[in-house]
Amino acid sequence: MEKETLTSSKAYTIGLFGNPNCGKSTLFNLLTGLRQKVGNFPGVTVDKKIGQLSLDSNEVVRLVDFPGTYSFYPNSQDERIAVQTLINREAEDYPDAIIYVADVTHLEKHLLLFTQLYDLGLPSILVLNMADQAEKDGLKIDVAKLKKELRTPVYLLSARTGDGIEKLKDGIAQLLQEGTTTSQQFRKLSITEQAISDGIRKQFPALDEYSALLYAHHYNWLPFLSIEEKASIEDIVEKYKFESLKLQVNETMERFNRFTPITQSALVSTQVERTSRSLWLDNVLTHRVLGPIIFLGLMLLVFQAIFAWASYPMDWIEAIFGQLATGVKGVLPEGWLSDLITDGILAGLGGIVVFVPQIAILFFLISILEEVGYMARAAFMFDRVMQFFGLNGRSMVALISSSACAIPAVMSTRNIGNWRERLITIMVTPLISCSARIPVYTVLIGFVVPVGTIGIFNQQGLAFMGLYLLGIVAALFSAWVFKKILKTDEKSFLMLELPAYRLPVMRNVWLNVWEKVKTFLLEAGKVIIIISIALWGLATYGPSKAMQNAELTATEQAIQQDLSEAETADLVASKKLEASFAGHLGKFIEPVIQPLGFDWKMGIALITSFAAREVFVGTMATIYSIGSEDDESSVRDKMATERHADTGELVYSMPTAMSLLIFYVFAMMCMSTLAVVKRETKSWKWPIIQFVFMTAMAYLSSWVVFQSLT
Amino acid sequence: MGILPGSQVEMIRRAPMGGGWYIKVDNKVIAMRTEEFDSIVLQA
Repeated sequence: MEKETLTSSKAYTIGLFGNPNCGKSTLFNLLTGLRQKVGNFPGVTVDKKIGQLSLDSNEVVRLVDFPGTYSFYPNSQDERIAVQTLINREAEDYPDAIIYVADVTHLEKHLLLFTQLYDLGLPSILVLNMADQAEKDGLKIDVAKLKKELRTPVYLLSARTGDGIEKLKDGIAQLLQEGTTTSQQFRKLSITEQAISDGIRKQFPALDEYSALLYAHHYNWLPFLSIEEKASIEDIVEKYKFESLKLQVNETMERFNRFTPITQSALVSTQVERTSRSLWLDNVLTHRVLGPIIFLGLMLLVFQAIFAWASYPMDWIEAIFGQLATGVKGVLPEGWLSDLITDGILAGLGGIVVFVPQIAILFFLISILEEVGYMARAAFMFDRVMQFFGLNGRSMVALISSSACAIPAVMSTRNIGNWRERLITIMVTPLISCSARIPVYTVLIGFVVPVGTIGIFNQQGLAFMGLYLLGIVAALFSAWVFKKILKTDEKSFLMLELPAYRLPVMRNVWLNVWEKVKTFLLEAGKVIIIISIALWGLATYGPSKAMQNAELTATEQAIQQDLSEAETADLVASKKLEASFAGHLGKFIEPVIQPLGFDWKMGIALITSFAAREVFVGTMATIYSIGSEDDESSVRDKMATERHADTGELVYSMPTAMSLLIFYVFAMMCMSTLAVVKRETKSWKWPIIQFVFMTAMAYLSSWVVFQSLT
Repeated sequence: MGILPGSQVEMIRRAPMGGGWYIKVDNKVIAMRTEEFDSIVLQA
């Protein structure tokens, strides 16, 4: 992104405020384009979007997109940010001026917050958005009248089509030059409120009247107040017998009473029934029976898209990285540097980039569904069921898409407003069997269930389905357990506006896809590449003497048995892996995994699977020295004939294979997912907890399975 | 969110698996849980 010119003393900060669904983000994207970045509001996990706005005057303006807010009396973490920033001049994002966005087709509801902002006295502009929709509805707007009554510059525009945007830019430039703070009040404080406000202003002389009143309403949770300050405000509040809730209701009603006549006289509606089309669609889309069926159908399409369509670009990416590796091997002399670049760095990079198609496709489809207005309906339909498990209606999307890949699924939880519900969703999502487990299941399932049919069903197919169901049950059960454990003081509630259905703004969709892909590559990519290099080191290096010995014995053995060149190379690779640190680690953990029926070879596979579960197959191929032909069936054939050296029993007996399968269903063996969870929860605490609980679950289940089958 | 004394409220339907309410307030459509729905006082 651009250099940080934003903090230089010349730069202005403008805050973008508005109710949810007012089209604020569309306007933000239109004004800033790609010159935006995502940060955090201090102390909370709410995303903050900051963008650069260039005006004709060459001034650079820093535009901060605040979360959608209904009023200064917040109901959620997101909503608190507006008020807590605006009544604290020291706040990092305290704006020099305000752009307030209102949906002109719902102006009678959207002006509440505007009048509250107005009473803080900051220079502001009122943007009446959705002019195109208003025109369609036959809504006539008297801009001049609003301007006069509200004593604020007013701009009518459409962020969807871009009509009127240039005038707004001129308006912003003018505001920055001429805009001054005012002490005019939209609403005068009542006598009680005035007394409290004056009392608080004795302690905080720099505050304006309305801010002081808001201190009295919110001092309990305002993060910037010290304990002493809170105590002194509490004294004042008690002295005046301050009834916060009653005053909030009175204030809100008075504001509505004042601006309702203004909107009624400035807007002339010739409309018939605006929402009728959406209501008709909802008769079908949120129908008791049809609604869930249509949703599952749509999700099937999404699933199909990530699963099947993404496989083509994924194959290309793998092929390109394969070519690159061969190229490097050709140019560089054989040695550790060439190995590091090809097997460590390039393999790691390839492992990251290969997820991009899935992420891009998932977010492309989800953004469209979100833009159209469907996601709010889906959340509404499934909220109750998900509530039971401590999840949210929106968790459905994450759970379903994680059957393709947990990484985009974890990233898709961002729009779950309640932190606890979002966290639980993130924690249990990787338990759903993802596509990387399929090769492992394919290889192992034959050792457990013989080929054949039960009725019309293929036995192995049924076993496959069983493994998937096991993952789903485990996810829901763990969610329920987390719900019992995690306590929160944040009240969970759901009150969603169901906006009228409309065509998606493709600019918003592309920007969302771009942002998700970028975040994944930069944030999660860093962690993945480090772990990938470490894994490479473990599998390539070992105590030097042991490694040399391994190579020597393998070569001697090959000569004795008169092996071909390829077979010799496979044998050497196998012996070297055994002598490497990974091999030692495998042997080291053997006593721990023995009760599960695993030997050290499987131990190595468990460790290398951490790079990605499907690596299991490749590792098995190397261990059984058939590395040059690592397709699933040859690996399977080799494993099927493997016998214990001492007892002569088959290594992949039914109990062992079953136990290994169960282990792969539950275990957290994916560094990429952990890296994404770290990025989304902003600490290492949650990925570590996730790793521990999933591995514990895997270990215990495998133990029970193996012990009861033998 | 703009449900005020005097607003016209119309119940449209319930969520497929219960729990949710789909209502129309003036010309806006809003979804909510039963707990929130209960706090609306209706007057014919």
